[in-house]
Amino acid sequence: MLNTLRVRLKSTEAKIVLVLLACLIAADCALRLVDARLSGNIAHIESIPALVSSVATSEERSMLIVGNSLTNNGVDEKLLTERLSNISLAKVTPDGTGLWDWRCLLEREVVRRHDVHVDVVVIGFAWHLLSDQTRANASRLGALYCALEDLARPRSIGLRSFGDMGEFVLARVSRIYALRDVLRNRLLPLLIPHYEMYTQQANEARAGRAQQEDAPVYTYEHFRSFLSGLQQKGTRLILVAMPVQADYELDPELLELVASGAIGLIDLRDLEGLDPSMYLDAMHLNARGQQLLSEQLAVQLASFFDELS
Amino acid sequence: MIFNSYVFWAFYALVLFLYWRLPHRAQNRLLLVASYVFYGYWDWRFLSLLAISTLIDYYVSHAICRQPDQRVRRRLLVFSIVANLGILGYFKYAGFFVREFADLLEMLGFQANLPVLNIVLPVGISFYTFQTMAYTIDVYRGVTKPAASLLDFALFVAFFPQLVAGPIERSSRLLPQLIGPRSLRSGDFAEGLYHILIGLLKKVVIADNLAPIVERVFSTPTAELTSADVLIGVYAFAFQIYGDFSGYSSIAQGTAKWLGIDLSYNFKMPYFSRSPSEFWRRWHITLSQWLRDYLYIPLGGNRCGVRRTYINLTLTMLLGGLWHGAAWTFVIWGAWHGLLLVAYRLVGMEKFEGHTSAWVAALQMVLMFHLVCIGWLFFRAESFDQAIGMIATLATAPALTDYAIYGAAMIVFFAGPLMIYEWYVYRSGDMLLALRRPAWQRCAAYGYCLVMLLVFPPLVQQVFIYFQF
Repeated sequence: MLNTLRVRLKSTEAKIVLVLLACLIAADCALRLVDARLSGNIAHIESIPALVSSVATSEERSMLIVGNSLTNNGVDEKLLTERLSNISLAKVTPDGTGLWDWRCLLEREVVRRHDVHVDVVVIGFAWHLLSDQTRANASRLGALYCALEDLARPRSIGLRSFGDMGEFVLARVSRIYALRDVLRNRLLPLLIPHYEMYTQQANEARAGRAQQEDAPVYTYEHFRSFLSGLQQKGTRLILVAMPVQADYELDPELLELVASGAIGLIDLRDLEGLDPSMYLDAMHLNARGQQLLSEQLAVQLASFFDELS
Repeated sequence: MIFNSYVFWAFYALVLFLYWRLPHRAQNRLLLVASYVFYGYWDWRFLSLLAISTLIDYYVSHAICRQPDQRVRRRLLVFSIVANLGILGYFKYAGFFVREFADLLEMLGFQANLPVLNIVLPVGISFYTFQTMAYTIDVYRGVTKPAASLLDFALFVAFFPQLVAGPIERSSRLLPQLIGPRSLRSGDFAEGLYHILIGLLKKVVIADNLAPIVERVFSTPTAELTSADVLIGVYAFAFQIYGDFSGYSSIAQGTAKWLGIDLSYNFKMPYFSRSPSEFWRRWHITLSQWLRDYLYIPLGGNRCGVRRTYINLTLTMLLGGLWHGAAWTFVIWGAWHGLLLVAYRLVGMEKFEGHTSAWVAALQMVLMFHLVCIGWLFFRAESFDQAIGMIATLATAPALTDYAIYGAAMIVFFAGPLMIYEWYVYRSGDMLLALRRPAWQRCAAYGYCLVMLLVFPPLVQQVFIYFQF
């Protein structure tokens, strides 16, 4: 029977499959060479190891500011560098990220790397982005942030199902699949009128539905274990609760951690002087908002470093 | 377990790996275990229903075969039908009829305190119930012999590629394939690959990418829609349901083919039909044939005069509609198709099925497609009022919106290439046209399928629509 199978696999169709696989591999390699040019976000992600090295190997105290587009829009790196003298800092803020991405990223770039030491990691967050209930993007984790060995402990990186694990592996293997959103968002606006507007509306509607379905009790088990990894490396963690136009509450378990002294918290949700004209949309700050927030953040971080020394 | 999930393909790879290493009898045992695992992965409790249906029809068919007395044979058949329809009726229709009965009592002025039944519908129950019923009826009619082995028969009922959404296979076609030894013949790998790739393209790329458009149009209050919005919503649904269901059938065919088993075609380019009867020869073919052989013909078919033929057609389509689900919208959808069949017969079917010029044939196709789309409005609508409201909007609110332009472009981008290919298949009459083309053309076509699957999977994974039936 197996011999028959071998004979069949020598058929034209098997050759077609092999040719297709070869073409896919070639296309994948080509995409890996140019993907940074396709998206600024990918270029930023690819620069993260160098950014971390540049900060963490300097003689000065080192600080990484981690977050997503909220932090990217909200924090002015140049202003902070000017205000916080003797501190070497870098901003690591890939789009659309949350607990699971930050965990993989920091474990890979800070905890596991022997050549670097980061004194302080500052994470900008909002809502429940640091809770166990945050949904992981398996493709993004597999392709951009996690190592293959992370798959050995799927729950700790937010993979909840066999489907998530399949997506993680496929994204790890195929760059075309991993960057499908980038390719889709490049191609479809050229072909489909009003694509961006209606896709954004659909995404917002879906996010609204997901929020309604979310569990009412938010837990921080995985965040605690991530924190313990950073502490073992001698890195302090400071959270920054970022402002958005709609109010949100901090979860009780997170506040317990702050009260225990395990982490620092800079709460900028109700930043004085911030008004709706300082937002680009419902959540992202514009240049004026960024200036205001960064000034305040610099003051609070400076006092933190004073305490530290 | 659904075909568009990683867990299914891991499961299938394991089954395939073991399957071709085993002797024939062991292959059947493996397939039976795999089929029960496949079904139980969704909800193991409903495996008992599958087993009960299997046991009833296995033993009743043997009893019918042994029994010389025609009256006893008939009673045995009635017992099997009542048992099967009883299970189906309880799980699928009890809640609906209790609700409707309570409404009726209240309308008549009585206080109705009937219990609310929230019964979970077992996946695929309509499909395997119809398959086992057909088997017992065929044994009763002497068309087929009862299966000698209970395990082979259990596999016939539960064969996983077609268990939850068909094709509804006849025992005379599937059982001999399961009983006899199988081998992977020349061309089987190619045919299986073709069916699987095109099936995944239809489901993952076409149906699931059009689903959000359908969802948005059908969840918007009718008063806020224009005729163009409704039109795009129903066109999107037409291609969504086609991609979803024919995609499932195609993947079922492909996965079965790699196990050395041929399943029936369930779809043959239905949207190029020129008449309702042609449509039903091309859409959900195995259900249409089932309804014809076990309902329409026993009712008298076209043998009892014109008027009776029309009644039989309408009744068959009404019950066909009800088979899809316990809701009046499905019944009306069935009635609409019954009405179309009668109307085309009154006008003269030969005008729509005979040879004619290309332009006339094209116009007939466009007309038939739109008549089918009106049916889809009832099929997809949440209520009869919504469907009527949307039809009224089609006639009274002509305005082209940005959303309609966006929706139309999405339909053309995702469904257009498949429709062009299907047009060539329709013209050639060869369902495996791609396999007769030169290797480089197949390579290009498969490359298109793969790239679309990698780059354009839906933003949200959707289950198969027909699982609920």
